[in-house]
Amino acid sequence: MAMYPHERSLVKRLAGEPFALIGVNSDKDLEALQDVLLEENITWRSFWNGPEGTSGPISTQWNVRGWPTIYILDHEGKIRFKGPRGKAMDKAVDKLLAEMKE
Amino acid sequence: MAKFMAAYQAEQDEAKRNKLLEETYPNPTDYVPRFRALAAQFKGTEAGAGALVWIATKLYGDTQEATVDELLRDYKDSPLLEQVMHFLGQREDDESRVHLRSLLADSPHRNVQAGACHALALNLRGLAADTKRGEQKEALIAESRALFMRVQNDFDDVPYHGRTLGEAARAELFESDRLQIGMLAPDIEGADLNGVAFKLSDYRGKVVVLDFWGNW
Repeated sequence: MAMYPHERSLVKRLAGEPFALIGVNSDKDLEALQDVLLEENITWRSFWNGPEGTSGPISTQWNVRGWPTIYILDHEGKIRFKGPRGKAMDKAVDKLLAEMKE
Repeated sequence: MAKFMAAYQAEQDEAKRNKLLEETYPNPTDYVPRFRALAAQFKGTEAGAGALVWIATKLYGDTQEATVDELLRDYKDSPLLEQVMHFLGQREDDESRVHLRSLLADSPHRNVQAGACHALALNLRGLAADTKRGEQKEALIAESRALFMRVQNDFDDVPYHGRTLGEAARAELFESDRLQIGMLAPDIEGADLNGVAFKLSDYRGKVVVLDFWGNW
């Protein structure tokens, strides 16, 4: 929950850049979540992991055992970083965006 | 849990709230001296091992590590070691791998061998991730894979944190083979929170932060 402000600022800062924040949401109750999306101004897109919540198909296949779990992919779709949050996430994303311009 | 939350929120007085919290969810640290005393009184028996397992699984950090070490030293033939194998899987010291190898080979209990096999596979994968590219790294990755395969072949049905060890090993193998740094991310096909279908690969050409999240 403490991550929303950072994610909002990341999405705002990189608007117009070839960047996307994609979530995989593991809340069981999709309807209750709609209020949270509005309240927290969560504008980025998420897959829904289904009614089984944290036992849903996407997080199971990706072997996710802790939330949040972060993967960062480059523009070719390759996994480049696992786990960075906060400033480390910003730095990783900036590095990959810079690589694209080389 | 829901009943506790309702009672907790209904209570306005701070001190009474805290009392309610402590009564419903006691702090394990307060009980460590009692379990220590039991471990001393019943040293060398299953009850003594059980008391140490209680401490190791309820506490964290140095206390947990020291208690696991004590179990490994004094109770290497106990079936209860099964419950602390996953802690050894996360450790980075060489000693942890020595213990796992010897339990896998010599424990008289199949469930302990099974837990040791899985934990050793995880431990070696972690070590491989911290090893620079080269023969040594490749060897660690190969050994880790072989151990996950052995879990599936020999210990498939052993219960493990609400599922079977075989299921856990299959998920770990997928992570080893498909989710490591430098690998092309597997595609995800699903629906967004408005029910609209999309794919992760729709975002090819962009840098993507993939965030497994939940509102809790």
